[in-house]
Amino acid sequence: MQLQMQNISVSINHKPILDSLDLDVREGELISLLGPSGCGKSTLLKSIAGLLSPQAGDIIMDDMTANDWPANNRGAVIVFQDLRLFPNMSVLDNVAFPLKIRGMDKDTRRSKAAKLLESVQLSGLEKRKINEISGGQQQRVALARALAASPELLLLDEPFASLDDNLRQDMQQLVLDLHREYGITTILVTHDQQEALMMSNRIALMMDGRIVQFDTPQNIYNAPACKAVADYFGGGNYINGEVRTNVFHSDIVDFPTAVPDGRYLALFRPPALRPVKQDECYRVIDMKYLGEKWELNVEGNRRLFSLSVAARPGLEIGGRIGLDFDINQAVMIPQ
Amino acid sequence: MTKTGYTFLKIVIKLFAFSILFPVAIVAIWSFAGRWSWPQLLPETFSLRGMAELFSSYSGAMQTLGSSVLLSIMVAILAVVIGAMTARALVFYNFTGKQAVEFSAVLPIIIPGTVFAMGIHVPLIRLGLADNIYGVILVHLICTLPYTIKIMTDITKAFGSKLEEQAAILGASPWQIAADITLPSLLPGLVSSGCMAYIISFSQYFLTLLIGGGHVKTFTLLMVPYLQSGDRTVASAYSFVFIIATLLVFIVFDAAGRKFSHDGHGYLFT
Amino acid sequence: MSADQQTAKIKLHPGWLEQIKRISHKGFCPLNRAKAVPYLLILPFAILSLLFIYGIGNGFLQSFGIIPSLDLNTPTLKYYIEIFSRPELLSSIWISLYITLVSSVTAAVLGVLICAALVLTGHDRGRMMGVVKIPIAIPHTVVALFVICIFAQSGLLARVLYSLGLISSQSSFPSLLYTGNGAGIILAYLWKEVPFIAFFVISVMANISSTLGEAAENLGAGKWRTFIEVTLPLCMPAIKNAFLIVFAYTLGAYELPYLLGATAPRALPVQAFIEYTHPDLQHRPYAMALNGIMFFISFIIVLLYYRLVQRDKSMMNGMNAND
Repeated sequence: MQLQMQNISVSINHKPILDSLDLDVREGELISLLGPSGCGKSTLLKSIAGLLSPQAGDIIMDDMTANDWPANNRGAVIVFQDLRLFPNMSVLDNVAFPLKIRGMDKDTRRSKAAKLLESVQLSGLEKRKINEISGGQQQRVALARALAASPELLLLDEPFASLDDNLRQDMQQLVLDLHREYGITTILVTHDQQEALMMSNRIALMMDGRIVQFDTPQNIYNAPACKAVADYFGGGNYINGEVRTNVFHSDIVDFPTAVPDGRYLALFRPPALRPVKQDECYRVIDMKYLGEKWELNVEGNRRLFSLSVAARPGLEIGGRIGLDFDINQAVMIPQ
Repeated sequence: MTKTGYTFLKIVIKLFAFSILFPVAIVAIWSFAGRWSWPQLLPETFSLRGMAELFSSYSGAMQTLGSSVLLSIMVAILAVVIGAMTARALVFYNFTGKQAVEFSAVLPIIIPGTVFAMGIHVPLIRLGLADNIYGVILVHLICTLPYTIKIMTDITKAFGSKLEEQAAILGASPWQIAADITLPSLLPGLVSSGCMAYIISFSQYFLTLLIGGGHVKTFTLLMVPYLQSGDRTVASAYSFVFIIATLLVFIVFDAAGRKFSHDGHGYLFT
Repeated sequence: MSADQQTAKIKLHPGWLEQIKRISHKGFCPLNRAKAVPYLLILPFAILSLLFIYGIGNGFLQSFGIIPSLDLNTPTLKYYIEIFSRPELLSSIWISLYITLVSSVTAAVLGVLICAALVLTGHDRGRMMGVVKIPIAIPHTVVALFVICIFAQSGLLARVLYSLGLISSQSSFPSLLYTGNGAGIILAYLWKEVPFIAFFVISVMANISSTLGEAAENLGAGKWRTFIEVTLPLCMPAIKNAFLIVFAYTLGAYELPYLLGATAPRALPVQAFIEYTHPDLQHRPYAMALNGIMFFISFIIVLLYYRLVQRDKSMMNGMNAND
């Protein structure tokens, strides 16, 4: 399904949650709705599914205005964060529920449900009760049940939030595999940047009820629209400056750049800085060991910089170093 | 759901609300009716006769009302305190006989009231608790405890022990914890179970009749002969005063509860 | 042993004084006090509970003819047998069961319907719930008056029908009060019990409807289908719970059959009380036997309730898994 949200505003109990939001999702895409808690992601999902009515704006599904379509007839299926599996039904009957609603007879729907359980690697658990299986298994049942509803749009609301790391990776892979196999347009809500970067065709970064940037993972990471977006992916060292005729000027570093003239923040992420032995005007104030890298905080030129290096630097706190800015890794953020 | 389905349900709700409010209104009107005979749809005359008879000194209704209210408030307070204690034991502790306690907490609701009353009457006589106010309070208490225990158990479970443990770690004494942490948080439950216990006690007829043996007069007991008489005006007047009195007590309970919770100590969760 | 040797012995244990102090304090050790706390907390309840159970047990024994104060000490079934052989007492049992069953089942059906209507139209909070709670605060004795004012042959409903020309006189209006059909009593019970059941069930129903019901809708089920297949089945434990409470109460309640019932047959509680207050104390065992029958019926209910609670717990575990 092709989805377009135009100018959507949603308030809950007179509190505005979504503010003139625009979104457009292409057929078969897997996009992430990324953002901090409380920015309105779940509200957006519920509005798409028809469980909430927007105060203003249009929801367009496959070029048809869907605002008035009832919630049980939109083809947009949510996998809720709390799963909401039916405790009075077995695993198989849970998965078969959407098929039962669509009038399929008992034998057909049971075999279809069994096949779906197979595709989420849960064969053999058909007769179990919901409370008898583990959290990760319940997640898969919820996924299978959603697929049974033949959704044209699959909405996943922080599906892996409560899982520990190993389980989460398995589930992420499962979702990717299912997406590749069935090709259903999917919107994945998450607050985990790594997850969004890894899984999505495009990422919609949401803040305060609006979509701040909607682009491929590479673009969002390497060309953030504003500082807030860059900060969400870890931020780094920002240098304020101005570009005049393809040269960036600041009080720290000047370098040639292709962007048009104007005021910019030049973002150098920690790996983009190297300690060097010339011009040692920076003093080391902190060193942290993070397993695969060391993170250093240095002070100099009236500000702080943070850099990361792979091996233990031969430095002590209080020692002096110079910094080399890798201008190839500079991310230019227009102001 | 379809528009007609929705409208149908709304009509059902409106009819339901009407069926609740209409009788109350009728009785309220009838208590001020002078003459309202067949086949009139509205009272022919209004008068304060019913009210006058109720408030007059010879009926003793006002004194009885006062003492009944006090009796039921007494029952309510006892029921809430004992209910809260029992609930606390059930929620926070494991002890031998816990299941027996849980089960017997429900018994007075399931065992018919008349069976209980006639069964306990003679033992109470032997204990010297029959035909006086103490026996009446006792049996009212037994009847109301299941409700207060249930409500306080739910509230205590929701409250949990986390806040108390936190306060203890921070150095608060048990008294401080009880007054500043536990009490304000349990207050809504205390108030609602208190109201529940009050109304159950205030409404009791058979139990008070049998155990009180005619020596304990409650407002409900006083009211019943008038209900059986043909004089609907006086009967309605008594019922009307009953309802108003109950409402006032609920308001007082609620206000008392709110006063304690706004003592400058807020609670840390909803 | 010389004095020196004894002193030396004591000196070998330099901390003996502290050791003695520690042992004597064990009795006041906080650990022991903590263990006693729950028992202290339940003490008042336990005493009252025992009194309650004693009263029931005592009545039960009396129904088998064991009344020491009347010099009756041999257990016998003769009172029970006689009750079952006297037609007017048998019809007491019958009318009690009839009234209780009809009012409880009707109240359950209507109560659930009202509850569903409130939840599905979004009125499960607020003013409407306040109205639902009103009958809780009104005693059965006053409800009897309601029924008299409205449904008596000279009551308001009759007057409305008369003014519409549908009946020609008071006697044309059906006799609902003080008759063997118990209609007035049933109406009175309904007025109290429909709101009670609605109130009892509504928080469970609202919760299920907003979570699992929402999920079912999202999966394609219409509101009605969702209610029948998801919401209602999951509310059944609460509904059964409410039904049992209502049934047990109605069976043994005195006020309404006393105020609105016929002189014959009388409901069990009324008949039992008449036997109990009979000047001839030999009637006491009959009263107790009638009580025994009421107790027996409600005992079955207690068993059902207990089984229900056990099954509830496993269902609840299923629900909690969704957290």
